[in-house]
Amino acid sequence: MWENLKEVIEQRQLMLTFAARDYKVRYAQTFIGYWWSLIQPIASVAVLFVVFQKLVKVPTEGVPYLPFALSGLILWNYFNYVITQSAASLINNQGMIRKIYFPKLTLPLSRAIVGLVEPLVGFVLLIALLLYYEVFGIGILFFLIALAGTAISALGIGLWTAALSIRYRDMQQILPFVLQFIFFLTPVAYSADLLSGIIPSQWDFVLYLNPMTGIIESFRAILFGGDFNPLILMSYAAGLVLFVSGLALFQKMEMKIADIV
Amino acid sequence: MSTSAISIQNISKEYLIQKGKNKEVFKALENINLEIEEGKVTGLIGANGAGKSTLLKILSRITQPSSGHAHINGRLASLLEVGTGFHPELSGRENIFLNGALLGMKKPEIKAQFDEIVDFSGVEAFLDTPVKHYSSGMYVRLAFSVAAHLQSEILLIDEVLAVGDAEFQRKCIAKMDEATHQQNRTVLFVSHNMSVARSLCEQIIFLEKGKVKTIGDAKSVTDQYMREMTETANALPIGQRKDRKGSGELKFSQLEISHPNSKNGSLLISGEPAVINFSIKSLKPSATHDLDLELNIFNASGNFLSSLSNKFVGTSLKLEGEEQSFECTINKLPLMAGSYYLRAKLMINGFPVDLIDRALNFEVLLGDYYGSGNFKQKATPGIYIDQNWKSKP
Repeated sequence: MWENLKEVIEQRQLMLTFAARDYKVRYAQTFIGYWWSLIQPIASVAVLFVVFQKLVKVPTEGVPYLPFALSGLILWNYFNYVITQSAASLINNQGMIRKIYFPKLTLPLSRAIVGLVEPLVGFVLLIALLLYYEVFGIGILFFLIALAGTAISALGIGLWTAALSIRYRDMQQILPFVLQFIFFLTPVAYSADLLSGIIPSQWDFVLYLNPMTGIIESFRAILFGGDFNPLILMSYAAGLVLFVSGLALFQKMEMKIADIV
Repeated sequence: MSTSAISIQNISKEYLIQKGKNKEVFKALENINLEIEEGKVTGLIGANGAGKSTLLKILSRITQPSSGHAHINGRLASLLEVGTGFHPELSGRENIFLNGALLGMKKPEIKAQFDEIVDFSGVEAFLDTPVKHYSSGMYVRLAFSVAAHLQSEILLIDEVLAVGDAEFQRKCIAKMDEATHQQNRTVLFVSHNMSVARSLCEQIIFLEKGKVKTIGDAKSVTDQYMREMTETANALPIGQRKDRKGSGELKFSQLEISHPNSKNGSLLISGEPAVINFSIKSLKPSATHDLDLELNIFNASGNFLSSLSNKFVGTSLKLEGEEQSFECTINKLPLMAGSYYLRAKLMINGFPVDLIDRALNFEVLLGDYYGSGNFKQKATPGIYIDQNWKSKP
């Protein structure tokens, strides 16, 4: 497994070239171009604000709703993007895979790099909101750790899906539903306490098997102050397990890709 | 004693293919043992399905062999299809960097050769245009230019010369020749065109049904290949042949070429008439089909010479019922004495229905095309063109 990672590092230039290609192509022939990177996080946080703050009025333990929601949404959107993109990365590049040899791992990894644009734009927005509501603190730096945790977890799931999609295209159909389902089980628009209030307390750990639960909770606990649930560590561990197992499966399937796709 | 650039030991490749309800093992390659010498151009020839492309894919690590292994001595680059990895939305300039990176070139390496690549491709005027607006010729030229400038010790090439115009093909061949001789580069090259293979390769490997049939010098192996292809083409009546492509609703069920005057024992002679008789059979006899026929004439080396087509001359041919015979008459056969073959292609509404690569082999005997009484045999047969010469006052 480490041999392959080494090869990817040697081929980092290819990975960056793929990332640059995907970034350019993503906004090709759109009217407002790169401005979409800014509009997307603003629009989605506006939706959450209207639905969960104005209509449902979810409690946020005294934290202003906009920075609260945005802190979760930035990470969730990145998670969602990396999974969706890396899951389809092998199938979308089958022509190339059948005709050119290159480390396939560069494909999902380059997607994770391209996807970074939006969370970084979101990060600047978040800082602006924190300053506005006067809750800004040094804890904001924890964002980098949360983002790395998100990338690893999302790649883990993405690698699993990409590897399975080679044989079972059904994965591509199932994935959107699964992601939507997980979205509601993740404390993005509301707090984890609200979710754990619904289920018996001895089952709380199930929520934290979802890597995003612990990642978002830890970020918020450090950003806004609050209890640090020890189950958070389990979320990070789950992300790591997904990544390592996903990588192993991906590399096993990599050998057969050209014969199957 | 020269060293091997590629050493192939006992390589086999099997595929599982679905046949009805059962899975069947298809052996694409069986126990291949080869040594490819350093600094030489080696050709790989064989009929469709002989395993040429599979072998190149294994050597370029795109797919893994079922057993055996290959030892590769040096940096290897492969060009199995021109323009894979090009992104239509990106400009020519961006695609040069993308494609170069894909083929394993480092950025400084691409930068250093950028001008040369652009110059060679001849697309400098469109360098900042997205390649989706390129003509297919420009696309191919740019793609080949990137690959041709790769600084690799070993280069694998699959049929890329089949595309692109003649002038560009010559440039590519010259470039490859230069690369092997000046930079001691090893080239392994798949070809269907025997004259290209002959002019380019020092050694040729002939694959047949996944096995190495012959290895030898270019001339003797291509001769053997062409002889055997002729035998295959003549072994079965055309209706029963399996080496055909197309949807198969209609099929050539008979195809022959002869001299209309049986006095000559129906041997074809330059300058005399020739008749092609053929029948088409339909699997769906109820419909009426408007036939679009093409009989392409190739010389024995696989070079295209000319095409006979009912659409060219504006004749409409219809097939009604199950089977029907047709004929195409040539009043004055303009082929010089030599060996030729016909490639038969039948299309309906623009879709290929039946396509047989070497549908019919035939020989043309020496004849007096111009009726001047002054004619001789040429080493490489070509075509006759009607001509008039005169001195001006």
